[in-house]
Amino acid sequence: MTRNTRHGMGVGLALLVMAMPAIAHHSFAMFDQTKEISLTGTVSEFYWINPHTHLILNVEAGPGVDPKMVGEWDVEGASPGIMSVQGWSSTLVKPGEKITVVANPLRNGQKGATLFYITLADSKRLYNDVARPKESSAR
Amino acid sequence: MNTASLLKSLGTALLIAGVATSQAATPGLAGTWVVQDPGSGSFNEWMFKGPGPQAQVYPEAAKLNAAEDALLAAGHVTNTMPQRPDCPRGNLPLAWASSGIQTLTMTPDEVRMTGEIIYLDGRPHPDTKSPDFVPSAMGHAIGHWEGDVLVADLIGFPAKSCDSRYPNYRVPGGGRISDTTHLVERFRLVDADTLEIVYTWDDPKIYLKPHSYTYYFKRTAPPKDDPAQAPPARKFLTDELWKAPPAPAQ
Repeated sequence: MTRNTRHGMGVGLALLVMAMPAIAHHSFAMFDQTKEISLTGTVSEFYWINPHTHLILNVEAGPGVDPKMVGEWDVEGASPGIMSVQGWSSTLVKPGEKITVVANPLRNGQKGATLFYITLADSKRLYNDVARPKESSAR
Repeated sequence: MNTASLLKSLGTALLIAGVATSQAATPGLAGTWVVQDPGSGSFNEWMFKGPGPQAQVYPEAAKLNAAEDALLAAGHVTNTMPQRPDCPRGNLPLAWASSGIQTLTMTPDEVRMTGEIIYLDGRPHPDTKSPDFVPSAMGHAIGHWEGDVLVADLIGFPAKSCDSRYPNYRVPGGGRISDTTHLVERFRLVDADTLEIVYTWDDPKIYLKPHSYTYYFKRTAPPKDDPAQAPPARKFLTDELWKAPPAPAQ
């Protein structure tokens, strides 16, 4: 391997590494942030990954459940670093746990959303980031 | 009053003065802080509408704000400025509003927080009209103490931004940043665990009158280390959806 080839591979690798966050981190234009949806379901997976966590939630059919909402939802959260400030951890929600998620849905109608907050079975709320609902008045 | 009691009184007075001076010099701002949203409804509302009254801006600035917001609402890219090497990186209003932990460090000569450096060593602002001046997205900040309030004065912002969704950095409450923007930040401890920062923006090209709002931060311990997991093999819905369509020709 020539020095130039090694140098080229090194530069290429560096560029790839630099590009990785840009590939995975994205604009929020895909979400309709004027709409809030509430999903009650069972956690099937929780990915504590950068740059965005993902909560996979199964919403089952039942009384009062809109049939359009039934199915597997991919709810994207902030980064682990941001969410840990709000009290989250990698083991906070576990597969099989029933929770309620409030989120902004994808504009294209797919079952995806960006997280606002969750409510656990014991009624405790956990927020995605510093944003709080308008009902909150505590500073 | 005899000499002994006079000396005792003088000593007490000096002690009190010394403590007061010491407290004034180090009012305990250092630490790790998290900003508190009083209930904006979403991060967008928190960041762009802000916690206080809306800015009173010139009609030209309001038109630009509305045009950019309309493009963004339609799902278009609003800032097509190339990210050249000379492009100032960072975003001061976003840094202050952001959800992460903010670490404030202090020495007698400077205060640092959110990437902003406030010089307390008496240096003046640079000449921003000089051809050698290089603007910074975090501005050039010089500060002084007014009692227990740290007052920072910032100028030297860039005319345009390549590191924001908007061509000009946005200020909470409907303001914008330009190369003639002037910002004053006033830091005060409300109590041991509450930091108040009052931001007042002015710009002869943007504001009809100075625009002020206040953020409150709560002291927090750094979170326990809980490293992110390795990326999984699965694809997420957003992996393929993140590319927004380009802005229409302007």
